[in-house]
Amino acid sequence: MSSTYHYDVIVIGAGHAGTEAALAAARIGARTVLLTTNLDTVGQMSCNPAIGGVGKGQIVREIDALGGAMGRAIDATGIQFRMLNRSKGPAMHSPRAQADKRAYQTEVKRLVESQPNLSLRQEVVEDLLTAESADGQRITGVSVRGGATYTAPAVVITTGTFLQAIMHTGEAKTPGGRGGEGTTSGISAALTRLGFELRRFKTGTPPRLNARTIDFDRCELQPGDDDPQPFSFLTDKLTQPQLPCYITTTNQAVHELIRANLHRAPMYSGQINSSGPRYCPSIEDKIVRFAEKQSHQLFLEPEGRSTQEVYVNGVSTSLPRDVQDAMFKLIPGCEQAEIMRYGYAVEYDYAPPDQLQPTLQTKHVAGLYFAGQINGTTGYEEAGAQGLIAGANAALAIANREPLILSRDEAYIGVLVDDLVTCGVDEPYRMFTSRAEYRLLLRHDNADRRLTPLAHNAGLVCQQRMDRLRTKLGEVDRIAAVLDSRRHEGVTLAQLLRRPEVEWPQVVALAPELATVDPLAAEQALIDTKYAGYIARQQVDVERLHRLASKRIPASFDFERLVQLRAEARQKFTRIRPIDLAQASRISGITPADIALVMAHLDAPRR
Amino acid sequence: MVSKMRLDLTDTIAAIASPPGASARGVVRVSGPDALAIVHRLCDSRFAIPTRAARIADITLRLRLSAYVHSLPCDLFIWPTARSYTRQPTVEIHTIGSPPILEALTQTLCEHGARLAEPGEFTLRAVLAGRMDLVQAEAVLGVIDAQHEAALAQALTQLAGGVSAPLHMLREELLMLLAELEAGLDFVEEEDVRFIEPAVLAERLAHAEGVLNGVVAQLQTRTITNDRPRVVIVGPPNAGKSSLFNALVKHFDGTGAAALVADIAGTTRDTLTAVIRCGPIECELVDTAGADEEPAISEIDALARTEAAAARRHADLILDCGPNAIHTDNTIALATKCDLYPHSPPDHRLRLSAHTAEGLDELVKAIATKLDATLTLTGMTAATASRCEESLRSAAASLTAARDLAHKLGAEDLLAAELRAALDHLGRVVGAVVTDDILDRIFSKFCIGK
Repeated sequence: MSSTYHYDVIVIGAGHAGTEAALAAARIGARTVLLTTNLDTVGQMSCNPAIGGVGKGQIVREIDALGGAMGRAIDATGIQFRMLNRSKGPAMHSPRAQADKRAYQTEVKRLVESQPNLSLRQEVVEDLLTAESADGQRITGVSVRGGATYTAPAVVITTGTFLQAIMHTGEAKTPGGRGGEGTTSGISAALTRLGFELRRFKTGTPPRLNARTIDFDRCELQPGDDDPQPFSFLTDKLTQPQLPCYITTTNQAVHELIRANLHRAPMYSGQINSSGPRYCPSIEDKIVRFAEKQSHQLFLEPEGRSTQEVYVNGVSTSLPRDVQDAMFKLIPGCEQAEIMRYGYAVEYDYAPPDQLQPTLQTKHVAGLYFAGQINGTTGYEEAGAQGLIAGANAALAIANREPLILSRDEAYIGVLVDDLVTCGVDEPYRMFTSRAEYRLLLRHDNADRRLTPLAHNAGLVCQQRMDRLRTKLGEVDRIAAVLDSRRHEGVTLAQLLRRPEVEWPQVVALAPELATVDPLAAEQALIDTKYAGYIARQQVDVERLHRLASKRIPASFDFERLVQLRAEARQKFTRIRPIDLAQASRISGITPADIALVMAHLDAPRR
Repeated sequence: MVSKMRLDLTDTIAAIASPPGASARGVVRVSGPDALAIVHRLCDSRFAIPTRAARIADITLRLRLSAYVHSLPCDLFIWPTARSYTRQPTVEIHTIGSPPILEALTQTLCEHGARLAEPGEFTLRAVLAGRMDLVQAEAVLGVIDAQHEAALAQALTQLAGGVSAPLHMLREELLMLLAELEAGLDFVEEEDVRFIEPAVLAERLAHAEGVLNGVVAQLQTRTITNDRPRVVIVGPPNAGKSSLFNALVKHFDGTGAAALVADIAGTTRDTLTAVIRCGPIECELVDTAGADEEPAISEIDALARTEAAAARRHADLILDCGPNAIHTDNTIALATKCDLYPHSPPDHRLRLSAHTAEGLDELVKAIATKLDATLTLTGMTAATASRCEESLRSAAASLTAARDLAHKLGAEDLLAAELRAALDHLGRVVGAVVTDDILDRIFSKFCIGK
């Protein structure tokens, strides 16, 4: 007698995407089950033991503003915090932290376990269950190893690098999505059967060393910030002691060794032919592509407080074990270092994300959502963001409520999702601030102001977050009122502050009551004032975008019938199915003329 | 608006592509899915159409002219694939520049399966194929409205041809600059990336600004400085051009002779202009120095002829006093001094005498009619030009702002925003910038990935 369990939302995979998806769905009120092949690897950091970075740190702040777990988890378990780009203008400030890897995943698991409406189960999903409905295929549930079945009207797949995964270290090939773990083939087969296109990507990870065997005296020290800034809008202050990272470098001897062994690197021997990310090249790639460089920096990052394991950032590789061993003998400070885990490259299936709608629901199968690396992205932050959007939309759809779609001027997450579903990917997708055309609006400091009210409407955040936001905004308004009303030598303090050379302390000297305000509110008021002109200008662009976005393209619009359209444009429109002219205009290779034609047909009365 | 024109891209279209009027060589263009097959039907059956772009010299096409089949020597330029101007298979037939022959050739092509191109249709196909970057959506609609294929193409080339090359170079330079700036912002932690030095940045911005201002100045000289259409009188020396000029000026507003007129060939050595009114249209009448056929005997002659050639290029309407003149879309052929040759056999030219005023009223009507037809087009071109100029001015303003920010610490995000604004404005003229343009440049220049 096989068992059957009924839920509203099933999430497959409990990594960074899966946990945020399950938490979001449950917060909205859907009865949710999170299925993972291993309860001990929930929220696992498979690669770099760090959260945030340029573009990514902003995403973590947004996930937090939407009620997600990532910010709280890293605040609780971070071992080093740095604000990157501190000198480069507020839109560029990007938080980054090293995590205690083990503590981080334990904290994420704890948050999942304590979430009402959410069950966490260890299961191996073997197949997806669907039914034919009037509008095509619809998901009905999943079957798992051991003969049990889970049913639900919505399923979110977040399988990471585990679909048909193969790991490469030199000539050695092992099936598996992460060092020491297995792979999943049932889901790939089911997706293919359901009509999804799958392609292959490759990514890699560096070796880990034992800190006891590293001579840190010969490396450069990289400490954390003196005044560490938290990720979560719920965290007031970070108080934990911080651990330093260290920097060392490669040299010509290392490069020669690698060059002499290139024929044994899977990327060069032809053993791997799928493409990897250009911004995260392996050490062998760097040496081939930038042959003129004399050395490359390596960052030695501790993986936690209670382990000696050290992550060697900058030397991702799939060279054979003997070459990895020999390489470190030539690197200053690492001559005696023992490798604890060897670096490897992993190849896996992803589903080109232009098969998705902006809710991350698939176009082929109603009720089925994809999030994370299955969509061809990399990074915990990008995964978590998609998980949150997919999980929230799964729950909202079941409740027959408005979907949560963030626009490009509202959030990096909006840029991320729009890029994925509109342009697809041809290398693993990572966020860069340069992808966001309204970067000045999308700052880490105002993520709560941008998103928490939206999240509140969707039922994603607790009252506490809204209350904190209201308090902060009230304070910002009071400061703004002071700046607008107080005068100094005939000009308002706001006008004074807009002068490039005038900084906050000079204003405080003129208005002593500002000395005691909440520093976060002060920062917000300062940025609002200083950048008012630029922010207003970006707002004009945003309105232009919204005008184009208001030209909705009905789902029934038949691009095939627009015979005047170039064949290429017709094919792309038919595949992507843009929801409005703004999205249509962002599809690669689409010209203003194509848009003009579609616009003319949208405006034309039906014949 | 779109329905004004048959836009079916699966039709194969044909039209005379050389400028109107008789010239040494004429061009007929055929474009569309069946272009090769249709031209092939006119060829010797042993001739094989190539599968790669090719020029086939000295081929003979069979042509039906006045019920007889003639053999016409031609050169074929063949683009069998999508790598043509319209991104469709295209054949250009270059042959003798005689209008009747070219018309017959077009007619024959139509009998074999092509259809006559509508005004502006080749250009529209090129625009739709993304071959043109100047024209944005509005301009596309302008194209659809436009009446004259050759004139439109000419106008667009005139506008964009000379300025688009420096603008493309400028776009590339600004993109590279933005890529370096963005690399310093997005990849702050990367060993390889050093933020660009403020002094270098300011210098490169100043240079770009200079180039841009140069283009704006150039564009101004190219666009019509006043809105009056130009009517230019051309013809061989002593054809009566200056007499005609004076007669027209007198006819319209009663002022006296303006040009020095004599019976000695080559009396007029400068271009003369006057404003005249033809019906509702005010236009500028231009008299040019004598013809191009004879070698210039002095430097002044040469100078005057250069100027005349320039006037002719900028003409909206040409009054051609030459013996072989023919009527075209923008030319009225005149048989001047008809009072001296009362018994010459009548031809298609408009008979005119500056002396007796015979034909003057007819000429005025003809001018008004012809100008009316081209006015819509001129308006469109001018609008495009001013849009173009406006975009470039905005781009220049953004560059100035960027330069001001270059020395300021902590304003890198604002500087990048100004640079993007400049590229966006420029993009309205030479094509938009997408993130991948920037990222590609970053990844090819810097070793990213720690």
